[in-house]
Amino acid sequence: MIKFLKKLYSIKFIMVLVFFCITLAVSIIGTRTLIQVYVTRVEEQRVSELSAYATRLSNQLNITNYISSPNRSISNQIDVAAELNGGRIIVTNNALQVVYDTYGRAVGKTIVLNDVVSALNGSNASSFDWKLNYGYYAYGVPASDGQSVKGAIYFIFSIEDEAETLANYNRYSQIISSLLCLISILLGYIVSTWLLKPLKGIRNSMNKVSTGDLDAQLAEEGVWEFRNISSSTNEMLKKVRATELSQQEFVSDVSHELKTPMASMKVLADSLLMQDIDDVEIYKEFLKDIDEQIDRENEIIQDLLTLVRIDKKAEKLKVKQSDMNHLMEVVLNRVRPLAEKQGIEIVYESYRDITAEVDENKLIMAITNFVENGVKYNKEMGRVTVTLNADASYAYINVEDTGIGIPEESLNHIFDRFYRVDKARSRETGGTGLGLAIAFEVIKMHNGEVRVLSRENVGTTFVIKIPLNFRNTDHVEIRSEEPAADASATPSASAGTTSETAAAEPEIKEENEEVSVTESEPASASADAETAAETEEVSLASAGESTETPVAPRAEDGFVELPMADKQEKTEDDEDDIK
Amino acid sequence: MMKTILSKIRKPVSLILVMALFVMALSACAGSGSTDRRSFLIVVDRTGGKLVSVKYTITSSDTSSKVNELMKALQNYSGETYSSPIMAGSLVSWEYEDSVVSVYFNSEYNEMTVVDEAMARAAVVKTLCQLQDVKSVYFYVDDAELTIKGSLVGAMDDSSFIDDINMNEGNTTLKLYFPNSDKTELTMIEREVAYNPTFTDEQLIIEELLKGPQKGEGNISDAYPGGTRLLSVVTRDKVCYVNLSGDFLQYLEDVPAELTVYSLVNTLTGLSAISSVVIMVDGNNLDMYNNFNCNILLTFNYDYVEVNE
Repeated sequence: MIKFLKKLYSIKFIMVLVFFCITLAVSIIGTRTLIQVYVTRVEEQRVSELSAYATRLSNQLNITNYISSPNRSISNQIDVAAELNGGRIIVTNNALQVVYDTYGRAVGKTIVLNDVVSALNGSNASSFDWKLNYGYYAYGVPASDGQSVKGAIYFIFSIEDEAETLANYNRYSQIISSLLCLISILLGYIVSTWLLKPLKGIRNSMNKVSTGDLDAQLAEEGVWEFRNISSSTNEMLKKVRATELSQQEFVSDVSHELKTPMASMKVLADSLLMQDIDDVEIYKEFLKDIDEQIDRENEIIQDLLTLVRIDKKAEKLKVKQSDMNHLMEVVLNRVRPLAEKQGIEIVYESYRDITAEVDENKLIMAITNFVENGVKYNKEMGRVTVTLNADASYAYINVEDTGIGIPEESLNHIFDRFYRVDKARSRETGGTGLGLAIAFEVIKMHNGEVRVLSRENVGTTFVIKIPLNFRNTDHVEIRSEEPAADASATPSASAGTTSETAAAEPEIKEENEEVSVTESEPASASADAETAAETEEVSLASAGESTETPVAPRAEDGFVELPMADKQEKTEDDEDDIK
Repeated sequence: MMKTILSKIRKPVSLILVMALFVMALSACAGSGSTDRRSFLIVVDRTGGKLVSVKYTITSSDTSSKVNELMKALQNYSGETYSSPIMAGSLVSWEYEDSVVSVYFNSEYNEMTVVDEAMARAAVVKTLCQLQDVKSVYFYVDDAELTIKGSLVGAMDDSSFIDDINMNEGNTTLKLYFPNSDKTELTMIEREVAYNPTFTDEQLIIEELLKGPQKGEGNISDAYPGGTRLLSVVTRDKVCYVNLSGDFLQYLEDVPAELTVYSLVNTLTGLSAISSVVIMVDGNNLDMYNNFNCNILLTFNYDYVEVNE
């Protein structure tokens, strides 16, 4: 029963009901108005028809003094008049006694009807009875000589025909109303069915999707609302397909990346097994190579784990007020050994004291990635300039290098997973191709933005913009101080880093380990050589630009600017600015 | 509109009322006059224009005290929009004897206007005549019988006053002639019908004839072709001119023409005011009905009337 009622709560049923109710209301009101108009018209017409004759008869009765002394000839005239009008005329004296009745039945009786009493009081009065087969109307007029009322004339005429017409009106309007109601139900059903028809198609397509056919497409047809929802759904499906595709690509990329070190190991191991070698040095050399490949494999897996963990919605940021300068110090201290090894100079410029609500560990990891990137893809004797600045609502971190730059066509992809500008070279510089992807995810989680400005053979600038006050979006948990408590509980602990020895900053230490595994593989000598070859003049150009304000776009220099954050986010940020 | 609705409602309501009264009459069968228990006081609308019924329950048992009770109630009645019909200070006494109530007034009674007096009288008489045992009412003013416009009023009862739009004409018994079930002769039946204020006696009779036999009137058959309507009926100098619709000429096969014609003629000439009948169809004189010559003044014909033992 309840199920049935629930089924009734549908657009179709509601529409049918609404159609029906409107039609019913309109037809009832219409019928009533029509009948009222008819009744009023008949009554007015009857009274106006009669009033002239009534007045004349009243005068005649006065002149002939009929009421006190009735005479036959007037009685006959009254009879004829009554007969022609199809009714009955009664004459009373002023004591309400019936003097003459064309039907004879009431003579001598006293008539105390309202219409007669009003007539004796000097005014005309009429009343109608619309009974079917019995309808009549009564009309009382005074018989007066102008000074005193001598008596009353009372007319009772049949309105049988009119009553029958009225009954017919009623009957026909009932029939027509019920027909109209039926039609309206039908119409409501047809219209709602027609309007809702596309819904079935949408449902079928959705069913197809839920059974796994992601290629299903909704036909954009029907009323505007449905076309709208179809196109939105199609858009959604497109996104789902894209995600699916990128996931497949990611899996295939991962497999490929994991396979490469394995293949190398296989070749090294095979060649050791195949050949009969006595020299231990050769074994050592081969095993060293295998060891390197194992390290690499390990590194890729670590990075993947980090990335997956960041991707997980469940992952929460541990946000707290942090001294950004201190944070940058940590980053730079971490990168410096690598930079020194490659002969890269790191310049740090801080414009003011800045505190921001950030997840220290994650942000350190991210910025480290950017800085390491600048160091790795630099030229010999190059320079990396890191600038920290802030306005009312954002902290800006510029990481500018004097490196090889990024080709324009690659700019769109540098944050993609496993993407490498130059596959051959990056293998030599090490890295997994995941560093920037991870860093970008972290910034995004902070509701920040990353812009890349780059020119080939001149250098690359990353502009990182992070809100000073963290906005609480879905995956956030703001924590006040004690970071130590959660350190062991974070998923990052499962990454296998067990070397948490420094007690002062356990979390940072932990991330430290991770990130250093990620990006701090010593670059091979040949990479250095190549970088050195490409440097030369570029250092000059970048030196001039290093003092510029961090946010300024540099399109005029030929840099390509790439805002990485969503437009939506940006406008929200702007609103925050105004506040 | 209201009136049509009311008229629709009236029928079932009156039916229910009648049934309710019947049930009450059955249940309260203790002694005569118990049906008087629920009565009405007839009082006057303050504007003086009409009489109004007000519910009243009688507590007394014998007629004399019932009259007392009703008179006192009438005298003392006072309502928001209605008032007692009896002028204050005019009523002296009343007595009930042998189904007659005599009501005595002093000279103050004459101070009422003629209309108010008529209304007051109607109210008192109609209130008293609700009692089954009260047959008539007499009014006395200063110990003399009431006269209006120089003539004695005399005995009054419910039918002396018309206070209902239906003219209080009540029922009448009509003598109607219909063919018997063998369609060989005419049988007279009596039918009680209510007067219609807009119908003359002739009209009433002919409409009843055209309705044909009713339930419980066995041994008679219909004399008139279906759909026949009365267009008009007029009596002049004892001649009744009956104008029927053309449907009258759709002869009934199994009823002899003369039976149809004399059903109408014998019934109408039963009225004292009518001695002969002229039948017209659609306004034209009817010469032949089927093969029966009726182009004459038709009078009552005993030849076709069934003789009862």
